[in-house]
Amino acid sequence: MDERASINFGRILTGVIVLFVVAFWGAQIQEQHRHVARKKVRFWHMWTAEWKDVVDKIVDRFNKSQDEYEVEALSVPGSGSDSKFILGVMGGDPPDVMAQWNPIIPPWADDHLLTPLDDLMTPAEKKAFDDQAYPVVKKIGMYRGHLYGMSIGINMSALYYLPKQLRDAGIDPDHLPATLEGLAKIGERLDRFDSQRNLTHLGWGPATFSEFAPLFGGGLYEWQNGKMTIVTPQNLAALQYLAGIRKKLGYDNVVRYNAGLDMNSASGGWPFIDGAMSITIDGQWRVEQLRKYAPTLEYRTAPVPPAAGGPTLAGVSNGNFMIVPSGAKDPIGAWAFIKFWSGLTDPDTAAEFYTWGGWLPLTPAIAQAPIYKAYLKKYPQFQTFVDLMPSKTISVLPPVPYQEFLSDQIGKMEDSALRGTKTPEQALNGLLFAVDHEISRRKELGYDR
Amino acid sequence: MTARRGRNRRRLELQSLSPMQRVSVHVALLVLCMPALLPFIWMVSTSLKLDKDIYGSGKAGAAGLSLSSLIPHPMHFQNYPEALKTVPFGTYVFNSLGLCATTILAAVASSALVAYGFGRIQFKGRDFWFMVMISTMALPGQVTMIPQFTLFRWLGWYGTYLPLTIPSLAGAPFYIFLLTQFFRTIPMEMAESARLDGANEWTIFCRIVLPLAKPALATCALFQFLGAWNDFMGPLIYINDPKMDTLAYGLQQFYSSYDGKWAQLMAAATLFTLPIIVLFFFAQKTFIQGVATTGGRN
Repeated sequence: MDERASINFGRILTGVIVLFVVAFWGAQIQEQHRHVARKKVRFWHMWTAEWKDVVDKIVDRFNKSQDEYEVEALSVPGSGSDSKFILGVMGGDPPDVMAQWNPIIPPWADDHLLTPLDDLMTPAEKKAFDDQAYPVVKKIGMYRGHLYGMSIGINMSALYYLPKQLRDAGIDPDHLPATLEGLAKIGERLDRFDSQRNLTHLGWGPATFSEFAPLFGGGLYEWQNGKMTIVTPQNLAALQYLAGIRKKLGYDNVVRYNAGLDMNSASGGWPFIDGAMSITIDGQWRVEQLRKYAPTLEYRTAPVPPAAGGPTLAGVSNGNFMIVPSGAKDPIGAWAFIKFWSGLTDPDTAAEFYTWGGWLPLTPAIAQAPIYKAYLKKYPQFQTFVDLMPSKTISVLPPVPYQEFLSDQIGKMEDSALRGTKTPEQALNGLLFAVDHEISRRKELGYDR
Repeated sequence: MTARRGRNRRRLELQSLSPMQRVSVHVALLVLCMPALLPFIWMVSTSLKLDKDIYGSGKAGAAGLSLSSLIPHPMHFQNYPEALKTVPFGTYVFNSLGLCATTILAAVASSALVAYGFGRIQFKGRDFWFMVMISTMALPGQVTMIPQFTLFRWLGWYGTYLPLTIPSLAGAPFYIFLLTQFFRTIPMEMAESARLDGANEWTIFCRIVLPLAKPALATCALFQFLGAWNDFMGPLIYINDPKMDTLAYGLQQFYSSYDGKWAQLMAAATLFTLPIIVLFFFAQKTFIQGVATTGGRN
């Protein structure tokens, strides 16, 4: 290219860029609200794809039911949602309401980023919540005596199993063992290995400490006095149970097996659908996934049995909840939307939303709504999870201001015990040390009293 | 002239090697390129596979990465139209290009003006202010995030593209530094001659300095393009309308929505990367020239 051509090319390129800039800014036409007279309620959430469609449907229903408020929903990528929220609050322009599932209530409440929802409730609404909400709903949303998060869908875990595989192994699928120890024994009968002792089929491969500790009567938090309880005989027994099964299967064997599982999207990315595991533990949302991806699969659900002498219907839960930030422009409108979705004051209407998302209800009144009962009749496997809701032994992540840190440390503890790099005692003591260190650090820095 | 001479010298140096030595040099270079190339090859290869073929289908263990595993068989081109259907790719591209074009024009023009002052005009405290300007580069983005957000909200810019574009008009410290270095290499005598002919500073800047600084300006433009194209945090924080989302933001949304659909995700990522590769391919000579002529002098 000679110099003249080069100059011409540069000029043309600059011209094109300038024209594009003009076109770009010309296209920025502000869209008006559909209902100008109504007050705008800004709602942020992290749902995407088919879940976003469900959210949009609920928002649409709310807007149709209203002549005072109009909710505007915005889906924010999960990876940046917390930064966006915190900047919004600190910069003075937060949303009015946000749906969350991250462990944020204690730290954000301590940092005064959240509005207590009990400040927005009428006495009658507060009484309705106190009297009717399931125990686990209160555990998830409450912090230091205030309600900061209103549940709009609880997640519970239960057993999923394939009766055919049990029958083939000579196990009666109608009579699963009543204890975890018994379950471990039938798991061994279902495991399959090749000639080189590589795992080729997993019978029962439990892994998550938080899910199993309550089944041994353990857990990381004493709800009565608000104290962390880490190294206890029950917690140790739970970790020994998980590590014992992993040791028998071979630490690396399970890692290799899991890495090789077929994550085919035709099976919704869940290897249980392909029969890669006979008995597993998972959340209620899998019922909907199985309906979609494997409608003809014969499977059943059941509560996870306790350890010998442990409490029944125990386990761990988390969920989706609504928060109202400090400085929200219209907290009353936000509360109106939260009430509508959660079904606190109109369970019959909200029951339908819970069926759209395959969510567990907030109160027994929602579970008893005709539309929810019809849903349970259609998907009887879902009933197992609804039956867990009244249980007082369902635990949640301890409501401490260092929840995120705790969550990471539990993961590390679990990993070291299940990989065999530490004994269960060492792993639990490691967690205790890390948590004690964090508590002291926070006190020294003046975060906690 | 100098560049051509350099190229000829390199060609001569290569020709002086024996065929065996030449092959060895190329093999060594190829091996050194692998850490950078492999992720890209994996991305393109995965974008042409079915999800079930990505990890191998053996239940006894993952297939691992091998040369044969990088060759998709069969080729599944359908991932591309499916990825394009899943998100409003056209809207994202338009918005990203709009922001890129605006910020390129704004950042390059404003930085060149400031750099001209630092590089070509003597004034009291010049070195001090230059150091102050340089030191702002050391400020991490997280430190300025909250005050910036508060300021833009106060100005009523929240929810618009203005916070993502207007700051470019104030110049970017890195480009100012780069261009200052370049402007200092242009002989002062040229400006003196122009002044004798009656040219003022603006004329010298536009008619003499800018045409000579094309490689450096192109380098700044390319850096700005990369920055704006890949920017995720800016749109995340300031944009509240899905119709205004950019490609980097959309790709993150895509990842959240279709976690597990790796083939489609890689197809979207390939499309996202493509403009950068094309741009670098066409602009690499100017880019390298720009960096080479600004990096070595003070």
